[in-house]
Amino acid sequence: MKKKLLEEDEVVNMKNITFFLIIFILLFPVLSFSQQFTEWQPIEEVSAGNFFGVGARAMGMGGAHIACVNDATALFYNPAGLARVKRLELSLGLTHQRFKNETGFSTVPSNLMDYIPYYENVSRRQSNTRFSSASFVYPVPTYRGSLVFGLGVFRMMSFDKTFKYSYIPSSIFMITDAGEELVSESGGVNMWSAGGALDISPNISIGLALNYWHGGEDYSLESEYSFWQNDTLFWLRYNDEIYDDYSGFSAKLGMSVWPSKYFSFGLTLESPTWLTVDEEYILRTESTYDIPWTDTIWIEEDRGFPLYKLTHPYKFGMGAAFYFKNILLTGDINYTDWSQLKYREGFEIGEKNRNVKEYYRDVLRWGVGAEVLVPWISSKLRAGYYSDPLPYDSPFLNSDRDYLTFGFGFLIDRVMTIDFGWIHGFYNFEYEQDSFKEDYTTDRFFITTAFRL
Amino acid sequence: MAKRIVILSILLIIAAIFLLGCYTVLTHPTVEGEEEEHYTGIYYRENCTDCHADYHQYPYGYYYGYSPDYYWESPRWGHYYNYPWWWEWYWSDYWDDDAEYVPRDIEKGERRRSNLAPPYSGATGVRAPVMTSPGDKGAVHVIKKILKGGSGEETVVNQPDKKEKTEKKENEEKAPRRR
Repeated sequence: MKKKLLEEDEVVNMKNITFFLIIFILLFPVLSFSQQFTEWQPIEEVSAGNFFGVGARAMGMGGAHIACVNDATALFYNPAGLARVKRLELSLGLTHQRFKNETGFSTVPSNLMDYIPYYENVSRRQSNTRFSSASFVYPVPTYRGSLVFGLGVFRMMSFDKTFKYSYIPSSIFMITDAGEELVSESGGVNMWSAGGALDISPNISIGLALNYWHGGEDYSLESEYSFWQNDTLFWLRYNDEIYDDYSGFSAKLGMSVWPSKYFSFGLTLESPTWLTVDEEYILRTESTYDIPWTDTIWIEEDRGFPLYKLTHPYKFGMGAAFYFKNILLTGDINYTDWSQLKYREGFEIGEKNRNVKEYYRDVLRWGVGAEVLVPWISSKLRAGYYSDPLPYDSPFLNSDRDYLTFGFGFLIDRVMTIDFGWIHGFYNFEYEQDSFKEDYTTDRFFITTAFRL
Repeated sequence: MAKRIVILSILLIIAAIFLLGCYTVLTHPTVEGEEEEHYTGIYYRENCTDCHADYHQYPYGYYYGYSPDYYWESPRWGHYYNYPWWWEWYWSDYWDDDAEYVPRDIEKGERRRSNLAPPYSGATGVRAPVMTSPGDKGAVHVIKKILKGGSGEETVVNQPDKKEKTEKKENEEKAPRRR
């Protein structure tokens, strides 16, 4: 669900407004789900709390990499980790995501389903294969300590998502209200990052990464409703297309400390991310009433090019890693107070910022992971878990975003690694009042290869 | 305002590093008296142990931070993660028969190599040196044999015998000092 941003100078024919008002008032019972949804979530900022994952090795370990990162992904996880890289590194990554949405009735007893309208059980899948990362790391030859520079691009946010629901009328009573909504989203935001790290003492490193964000999102919503009212059939089709271009800046500071060879920890501080969203929307509405359908159809099309700016709040990270022989255990905590997300420019920013304060919350994204080197196959096996709570409060959230992760990696000729990662996640909503549930299942596959000269 | 604070913080950190000095050093400091001397063909770093008593503790000639144990026990991974690429330049005269630079002082050169060559270096046809991992204080020595002309590698982990230790000490004592 995404709110469209309207231009201030939008001019709409008054006659049509009157007609659409009548239609919407009459459609009120059918739209109860949507209205209930928007009551608690007046706006969904899709860039907030959008963590897709970077690097097959890290994602195989629950994304817990702040304390133990020693490759190019340090530019994202902890720039200080770059200082651990001792060889020139070139790396490339791909991801494949399988996203599945299931909606339907949740609590309607089967014996009542003929008497009351209910949501049909439907599912929709969406698969996307995307470029994930490309990076280069250059360790400067040093006599003592470490000085390393890195450059890379990482796909940070993903908008690949889909949603569908279908509303079935009662078969016994002559109430033929029906509705269907289909949402399809695609795109993502890449982070171009340049950074460096150096040792400031034998066991302490600091690092800094400067990031430029750029990407886009294509959003498409199509919904259709029909119902009888006073022997008249009303019908409405609603098509909304939104194209967003994202750009922005941020910086990340990191520190990595190795008190002993068995233990290390890291701290990160990410500046606010200043984002600009350049939007184009096309909203098309078709509506009619009475029988037959050949009667007049009202068609309304609006188009606009709003621009809005927003700022993501500070992000704090902390991680620890333990090394025992061939085993690495690691854990991360990332804290972000999304209630501090702020719209700086755009339409009705006062209202939007009030809503953010009311509905958004601070979240703790945390993860744990393990890596075991199996010497006789010269491969590393990995497993992990991470929790990535949604950035807003919802009374209907039944199960928040949890992910199980697995991975393995092997080394070829001492110069090339290939890592695979798989994460499986799930979350769902339940709207008891409407006997409606909304399940999301995600499977993401990561492959990263790195060549060290 | 927040943007200014972030930029100011970053600038302060960078300034602090440059003004206060940094642990990281790019090149070897000039050795006292080195500039006055004429060229002798003897590389001053051949006598690293003269200045760095703990040189043998660290595989790279200087301490580069802690590393997990398996870097030493599985040299392939150790090489990938922890062997500085510029050390291959440093050792290139030893690994490559056609190298242009050959240390004149063979005795010093041998001493340097035998003590400091890392176990997971990329050479072939060379007898492995003895090395200790940081923090182990010589508890475990890793000897790597690389079979000349063959594809296999063999890694042997053992304790150094007294004879080897004695010979090593004697060699160090016999080696002429630079000044």
